[in-house]
Amino acid sequence: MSLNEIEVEVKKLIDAGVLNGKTIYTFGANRSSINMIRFLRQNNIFPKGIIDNSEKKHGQIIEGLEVTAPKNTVCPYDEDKVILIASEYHKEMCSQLEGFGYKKDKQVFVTSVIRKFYDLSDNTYGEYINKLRRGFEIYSKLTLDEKTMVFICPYPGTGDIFLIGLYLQKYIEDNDISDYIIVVKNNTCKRVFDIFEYQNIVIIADEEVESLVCFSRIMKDTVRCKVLNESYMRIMHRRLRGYKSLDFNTMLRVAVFEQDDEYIPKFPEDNVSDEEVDKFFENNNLIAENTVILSPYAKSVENVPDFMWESIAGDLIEKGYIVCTNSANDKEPAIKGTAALFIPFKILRPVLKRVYGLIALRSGLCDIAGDIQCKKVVFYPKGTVFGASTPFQYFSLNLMNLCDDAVEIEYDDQQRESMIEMACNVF
Amino acid sequence: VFSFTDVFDKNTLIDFDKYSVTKKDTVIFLINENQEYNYYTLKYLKAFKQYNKLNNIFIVSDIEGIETHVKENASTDVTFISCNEEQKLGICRLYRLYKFTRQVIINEFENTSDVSADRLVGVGDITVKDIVAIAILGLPEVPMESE
Repeated sequence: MSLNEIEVEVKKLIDAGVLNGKTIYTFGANRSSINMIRFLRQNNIFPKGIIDNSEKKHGQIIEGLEVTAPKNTVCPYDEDKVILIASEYHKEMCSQLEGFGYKKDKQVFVTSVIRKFYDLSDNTYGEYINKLRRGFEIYSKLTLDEKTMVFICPYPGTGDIFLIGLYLQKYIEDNDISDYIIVVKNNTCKRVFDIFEYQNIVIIADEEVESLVCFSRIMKDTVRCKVLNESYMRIMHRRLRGYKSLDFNTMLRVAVFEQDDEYIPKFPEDNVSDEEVDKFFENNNLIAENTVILSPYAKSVENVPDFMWESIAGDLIEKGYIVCTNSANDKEPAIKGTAALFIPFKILRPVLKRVYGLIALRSGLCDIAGDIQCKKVVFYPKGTVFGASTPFQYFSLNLMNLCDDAVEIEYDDQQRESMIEMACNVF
Repeated sequence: VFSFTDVFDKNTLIDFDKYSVTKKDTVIFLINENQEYNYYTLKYLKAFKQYNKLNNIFIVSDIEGIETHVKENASTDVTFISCNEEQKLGICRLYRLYKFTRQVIINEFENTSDVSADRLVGVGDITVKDIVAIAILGLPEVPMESE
């Protein structure tokens, strides 16, 4: 699996041994910190905490680590402390830490500058003109004639792709599109589209997708391309996320697919034979109606602690259920006391239709399970902000009208016992 | 036949150095064909200026006769710069290509984006005021018009 920019830089630090025996903090209660923390843990390095200058964030628990003020945490100077930064404010952060006595590239490491300030210099401008050229080449290769519509999916989230799948067919019909291709970033996206039986799906590299997006945006009045994302690289749209209860599904339906309230999304028909699903249960020694699947991993929201999942698993096993952990790869180990279960996308919905229940951290899997009748408990991180609201308000299955029967819980570490009870009482 | 020089020419851009635009200023392109967007953009400038602790706001537009409208409705002092259509489309194309600065705001979606956020007007109780204040200007809330 390829590493992203931050992971590459963190890996360099690990390989250089500069993190050995150090107490590690990340600076900034943000997505980049979460990525660094997860990557460090995968490499058996366990950060101590997150520092952030925003008082509003102090006391929050992110990835099981407390967010604290820099001056209370890394001041006075301690040579055994290392601070990792992945932020556009890296200069200000470094300067603040230098004020405490830390030195850049000795105890303070910038793993990504997350460049947000652009300029009109020949370098930056040239970089984008090259992307345009590349986008044009890709577009020319992909399309046989100018009638072909190119749908571009720049964000590879499983849930995003599934929701796109709900609306795309109607858009194709409404706009009399006879020839189309769908461009995605990876095979997982393709497999999600396969659930709907969409045709002509093309996988291209991340950088090629970015170039194609650039090209389609510049040529929007000339070529038949459509970017299928509600706010891809568009700050103005992102600000509306969750504003006045605007949820993800509505943003996508209205802003991208131009569908009104009347349109009821079409869930896939799941044309999979009973025999194939029977075989899956048989091969995994599962009794369908007695099985509960845990899905504790998500890419877009912070994980909740393992002990919570372990407690839930223990309680359900005691009640006589077979409990499994949905696990796509080695990075998603089974919760203690349960078996890892890999469910191919093709049979995911038919499998979920037969099991007794699903308990999940909010991920794309929840969108796929949205209309399915099994018991559904979904955890959302509490105390974090998403656009103008929270992950719960923006992604709630019930509020998005994907279903009305999900038991949705905002995980609060202070009330872990009652959270566990709430989840287990559903079963 | 595809030609990049047709798509975008850096030389057509307005020379903001001429107007001494600094890092403490913001340039707002007031180019929405829907005058309601232009009206609320102007009405919320005072709140926008305070929220972002700005020194100056430059309003740029190619709309004929809009300078008077700007003078009458802007809730704070602004410097008006007239541009032509080519300059407007140039900046919109550049904005579509990449966000070259945080100091430029364009108060419409049709020329700058592939997703029109204004379609969201009428969803729930979202209004043009919300789109202008929250999405375009990035304010935390819709200001009172007297603010």
